Amino acid sequence: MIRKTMTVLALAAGLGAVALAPAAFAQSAAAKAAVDAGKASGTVGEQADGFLGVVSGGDAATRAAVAEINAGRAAVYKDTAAKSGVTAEAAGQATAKQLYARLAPGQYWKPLDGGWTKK
Amino acid sequence: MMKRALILPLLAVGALAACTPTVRVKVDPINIYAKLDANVRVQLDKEVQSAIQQNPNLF
Repeated sequence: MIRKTMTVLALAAGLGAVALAPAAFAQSAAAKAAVDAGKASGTVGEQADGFLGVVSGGDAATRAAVAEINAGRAAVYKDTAAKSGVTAEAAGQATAKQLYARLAPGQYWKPLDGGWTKK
Repeated sequence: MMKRALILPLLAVGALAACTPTVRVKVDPINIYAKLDANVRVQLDKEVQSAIQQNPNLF
């Protein structure tokens, strides 16, 4: 069983090395699922800076997923900023504005100048 | 008159010196987006929209 897992992992690692996408992308779907579950349960929220935050509690897996998605987002903001000639921070805030619109009522939001609030 | 010109800067320096031990750990985030030029903002919003659509695994 363990050997099988190791083989699968080795294969996945090999594939990841071949793929042009960063290694983090291989995990992204799982991280996204964990983050979405966290958002639905009120553990994870969206922040006005364009990044995810842990509202309260949150197990290690949730925190890791949040960190992973945030790393991916940071790269996107940098890219978007370069395209529009603004800072990555501005790109993050602009994205947050659109993400707030997509946030379901009851989910958590953190404005730039305050604490977690329920939408 | 000359005395006042001397005393005021000294007071200012004294006031500043009194504050030196204070370390501000948390700087309030500033809404940079709101300060952007309107045209830049429109362009940025378009870029952001496509970035969100292109990265369903992140947003």
